[in-house]
Amino acid sequence: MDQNPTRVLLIEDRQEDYLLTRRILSRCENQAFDLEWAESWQAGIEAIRRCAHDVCLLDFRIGGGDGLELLKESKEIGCKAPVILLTGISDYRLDLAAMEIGAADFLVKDKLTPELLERAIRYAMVQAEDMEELRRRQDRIAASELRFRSVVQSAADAIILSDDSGQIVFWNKGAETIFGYTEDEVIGAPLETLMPEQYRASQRLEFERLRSMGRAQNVGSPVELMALRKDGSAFPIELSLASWTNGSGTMLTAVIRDVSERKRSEEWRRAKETAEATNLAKSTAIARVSHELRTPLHAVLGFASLLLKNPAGNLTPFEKDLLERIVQNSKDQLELIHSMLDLSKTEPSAHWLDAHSRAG
Amino acid sequence: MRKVAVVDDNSDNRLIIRTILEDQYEILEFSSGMEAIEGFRKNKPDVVILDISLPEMDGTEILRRIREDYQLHDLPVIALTAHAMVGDREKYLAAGFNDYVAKPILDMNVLFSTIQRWENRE
Repeated sequence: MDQNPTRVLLIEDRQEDYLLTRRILSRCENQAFDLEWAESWQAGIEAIRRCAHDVCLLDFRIGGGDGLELLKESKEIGCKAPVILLTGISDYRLDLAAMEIGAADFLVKDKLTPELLERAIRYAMVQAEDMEELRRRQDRIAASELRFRSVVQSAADAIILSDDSGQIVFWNKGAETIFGYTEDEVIGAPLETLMPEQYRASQRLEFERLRSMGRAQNVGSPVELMALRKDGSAFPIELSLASWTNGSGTMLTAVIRDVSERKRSEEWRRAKETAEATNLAKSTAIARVSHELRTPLHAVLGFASLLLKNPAGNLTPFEKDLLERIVQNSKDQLELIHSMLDLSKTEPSAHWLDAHSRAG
Repeated sequence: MRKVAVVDDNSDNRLIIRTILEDQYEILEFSSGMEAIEGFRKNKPDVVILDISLPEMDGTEILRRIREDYQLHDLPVIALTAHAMVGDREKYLAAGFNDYVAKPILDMNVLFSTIQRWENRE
């Protein structure tokens, strides 16, 4: 025998029926009951609102209204306790109507026995508990579904589900943005729709494979390939595939990222790097050529200048004039090389040229 | 006689400097950085004239090794360059050279006065 008495709310406007019910409940051997009596519609509603009962027995003809209406109202209030309707006469249509609204049982008063009522209450409570558990599960599923939806719908990537025949069964906002098709336009369409012609044959093979082996190639690591927008333009994508099997067959999840922008910036970066490398090679070559051209002239200038110093004191004016011409020509040549090859420098006038023209 | 080391891979350049200086200085010629550093350890010069553009070990690298060497770190080192751009002087002094002479050497007095600035440094 259960330690805790079952808390019963009786909504009944006739005292003799209350007393009858109380007598029946008190005769139940296997379960104790705490009975609360609400004598009117209003008292019944207030008692229901308190949610303090395990089960509710409701007279079908309650003063001030119809028992079905009160039942409906109790469901709207969110009363979780099962409601058993009590009626004076057996009426099949009324029974069905009560069941429809959510009555746990439908009992005829003058056929009540302690065993019958106790069993009806017990079953009603277990069923209500089961219903409650089911409802909690549904809530969890709904919450999980909502989470899934909000994650999937807020993703910038296209997230597409297809069945094993390659038909699109799910299409998120990201997919709409990337491909240009709305969900309505694309659900039920073949995945091929999203691919340029040249990929379609291999995709058909892929789905054959998926159907026969239950798994697809390319599952796991992302691959880069081309896709087709609604407007017919092709664009590069990164595709990640996952396949999974549920009761109705193998499904394929495709996560697709539009990589046009990334491709463009990669190309731009490569072009920039090439240009920079070319520039560097050019300036290195210029520096080398400049050095190679100037070194022998430095020697010519140096030696001619040494001779002009006339250390032995035996040069004729004519010989000195020739040496000066060698020096002048070399300087002109140096200046020419300098201005040709050092154009990139911000200060085109060479330090040595300035120094020398001041000195000379 | 004070010793001036000339480090330059071009023999014409070395000959010009030798011709200018040899009446007043003992000239030690080197055509590469490795050869020069080895030579300095055996016979330490008073002043070094160091070409910047050398194959293999370039002038700034040779300077770094001189500055790290406990025997040679205080050597006065004069950079010799054909780059000859405005701002070069500051650049080479900042790199740790004591002084700077631009190629081609047309005015011998520039070379003399530069060496004289450093040869008597104690």
